[in-house]
Amino acid sequence: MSEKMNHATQATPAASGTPAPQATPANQATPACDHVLLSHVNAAPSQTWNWLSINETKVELPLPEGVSKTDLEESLKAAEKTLSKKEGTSPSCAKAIEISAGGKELAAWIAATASKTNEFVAKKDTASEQNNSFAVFLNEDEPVQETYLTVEEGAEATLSIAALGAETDSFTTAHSLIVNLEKGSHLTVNNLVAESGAQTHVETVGVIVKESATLDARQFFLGAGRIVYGLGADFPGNEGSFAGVSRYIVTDDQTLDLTFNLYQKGIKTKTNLSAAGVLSGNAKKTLRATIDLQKGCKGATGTENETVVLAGENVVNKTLPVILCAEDDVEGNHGATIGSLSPEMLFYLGCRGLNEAQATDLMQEAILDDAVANLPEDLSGAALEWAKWAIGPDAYATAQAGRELKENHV
Amino acid sequence: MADEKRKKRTEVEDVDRSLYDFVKSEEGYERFADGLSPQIVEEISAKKNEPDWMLQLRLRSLQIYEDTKMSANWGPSIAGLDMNHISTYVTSGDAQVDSWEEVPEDIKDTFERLGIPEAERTSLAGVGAQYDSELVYHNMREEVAEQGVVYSGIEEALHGPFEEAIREHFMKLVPPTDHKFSALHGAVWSGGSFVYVPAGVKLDFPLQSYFRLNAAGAGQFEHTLILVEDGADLHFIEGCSAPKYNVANLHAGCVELFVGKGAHLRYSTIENWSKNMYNLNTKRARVEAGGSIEWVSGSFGSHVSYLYPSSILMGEGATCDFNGITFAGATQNLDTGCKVHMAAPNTRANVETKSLSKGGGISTFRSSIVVTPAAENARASVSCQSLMLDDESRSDTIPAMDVRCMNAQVGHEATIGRISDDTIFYLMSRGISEAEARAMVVNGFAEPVSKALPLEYAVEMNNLIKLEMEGAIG
Repeated sequence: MSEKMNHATQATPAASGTPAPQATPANQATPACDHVLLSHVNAAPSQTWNWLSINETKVELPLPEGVSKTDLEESLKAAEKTLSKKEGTSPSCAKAIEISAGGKELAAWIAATASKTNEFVAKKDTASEQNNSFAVFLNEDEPVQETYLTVEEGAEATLSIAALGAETDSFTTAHSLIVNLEKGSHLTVNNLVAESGAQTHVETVGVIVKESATLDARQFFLGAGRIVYGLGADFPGNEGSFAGVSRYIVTDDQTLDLTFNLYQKGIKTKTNLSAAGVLSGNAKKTLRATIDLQKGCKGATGTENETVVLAGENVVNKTLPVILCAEDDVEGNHGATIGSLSPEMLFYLGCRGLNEAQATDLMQEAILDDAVANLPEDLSGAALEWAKWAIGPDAYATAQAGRELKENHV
Repeated sequence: MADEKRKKRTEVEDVDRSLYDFVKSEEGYERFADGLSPQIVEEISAKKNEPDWMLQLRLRSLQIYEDTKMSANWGPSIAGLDMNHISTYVTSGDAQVDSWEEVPEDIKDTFERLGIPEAERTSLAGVGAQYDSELVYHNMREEVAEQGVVYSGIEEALHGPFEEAIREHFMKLVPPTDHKFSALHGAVWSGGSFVYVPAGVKLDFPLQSYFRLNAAGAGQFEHTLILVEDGADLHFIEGCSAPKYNVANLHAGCVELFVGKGAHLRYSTIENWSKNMYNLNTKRARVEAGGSIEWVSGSFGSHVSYLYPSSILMGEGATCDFNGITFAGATQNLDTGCKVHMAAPNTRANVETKSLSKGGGISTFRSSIVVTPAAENARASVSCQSLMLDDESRSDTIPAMDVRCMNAQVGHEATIGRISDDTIFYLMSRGISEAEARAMVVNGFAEPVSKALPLEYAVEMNNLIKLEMEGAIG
């Protein structure tokens, strides 16, 4: 029996069809008067020295159409307090909102700004598998959306989320996702962010993973001026699991800010996060990944690893891989490798006619190919379209060829 | 009943710490009023007949202390520490001497019990001993002094030819603005050592300073300043202990290390403060081109610790090695680790830490590796292993990396787990008891740190581990 999700928003929603909001560029010193500054976004649950500026991030987001800054700030304050306490909100939904990693400020802004709310329920005995496949497209028409998804006991579902923009677009996309995975259910979430360098994408996710439920996340952050993404998952049931694969390309002056908070409470719960990507130009990337092995989670395992290729003179990479442990019969591991292509690798590639810049392009193209090969058709098509103008025709052609090869092979 | 049995199996009994837990009378001692005020700071300064610049530094630091707040978002609570109940200056009033025979009987007895004079006779080039707020003993072998090495109390050095050098370096690496307790240190520091090793001089034996805080409800604020000139080599050992009281004690020392071009400094610490101690110590080294700093750090005592020796690699090819072990038992919350700031090409850093938690103790490994754009071809590797010895305790790892140089390589790995049943079963099948098997595994776990210590200190560390392990198996 699934718990009913209630998403009622009290703050002023923007009318559908109104112009898409635009975020203030990250490098703009003074916030624009039509923007609001959110100060505690993507906060790590266990923090460290503040001088490192790694504990959380700030983000400036546009005011919804027709809403004053004062009104919005007040409604954010109110919404922060009441987000998870609204009438009709199920306990699982309330908890998912509570742990949503982007934070209450961001969730409240999305609640105040969203032009569309999606409510999905995946049932076990659905006649067609297609009925348990859901999609959310964040584009100029519907740039800010909220989604509530319940996957009922034993059911399987797929959710695809794409934040898309064209080369000249500058609107902000935002998404809040609240998920309740009932006992023995399975959910695959595919994420694609493929926007222009003038766009901002923000997303906050809260998931409750109950007994023996499994959550697979495949994420491809291919481009946007600024991406802020936070996923919080709570594992109250035994043997719940999470497998996350996060790939990113950050170029030019783009910024990527990722947070994963995984709270393992049930026995034999299992989490595994693998992040990898390429930073070039003046790119900035922050990854906060926390595995919280809580008291009682005997037999649990938590693993996180990251590989970052540095390929720009002015790149900034920050990584905060945290393991919190209050149980002895557990295994927690994390590893990180941060650096440029080794001289040996460059020599090898050089022997095959590739210079350093081409080798870096190859790394980026590999991530694009990975996205095209592993995302569902509608998302991989969008990734290809993006690659055409964002990376170049060669990358597009290679990825397209790979896709055709895969299709023919299948 | 079952619960009781289980508790016996997992809970740590009080260990016999009589080696460290003995109290000497404070009768006849001078003790400043508890709390902080400009008057107290001025009195400390006047007592030491300091130059005016030092008094001004103290007063400025006090102001910074009052204006600075502790960060609310990280670190263990220090709510149990009330500065209004801490005396910042306690002394027996006896002058510092260079012969153990002249040290007052009860203080000498303290250091005899701790084995300091014996260590001096057998394996040290020089010893300093601080009791509460003042040094009571300082001595160095003649042949070492003949090489131009200076090892004295910092206050003594402040009144000699090194005043200018001290002024140039004192609280420059750790400024009072660094954090609240570095500001407190700047205001009320007392005692500590000054070491100067001239260019090219290599000491065959270590120097050691031992800090003993005997007074209840008091603070110890010693300042250690070490200048190792180009091409010189020094091993400095720091030990500390205190008897246990029911009231909070505070240690807010400061260590500033300057390592010249091509010089080498190993700084070893076995910290065994009593479990009512708030250990809010700050240690920092600046390393010039081709120089190297090695930290060997064993943290066993204290109720609460904030301890992160930091290394600033300023010159090309400078290196840092950090080997640390932290053992958090019942009532302890030890937040330890290190910071490395790589600011020059071809710098190297290697961090290996171990932590153990038992009996409800909390051990947190916290680190930062910062690679600046200037650190071309820098290499850093961080390895952190944590062992949970029961399910009452807690072990967290919070490492941060900030890399801003394309050609740098930074690797990090961490694991948290417990001693595997298979390992214990294997050892027991060879006739070893469970308790011995566990102790063997823990000693093996700690080996990288004990290996880096001189033999007698490695033995002391292993004894501390043995003490901590007592009662772990019922």
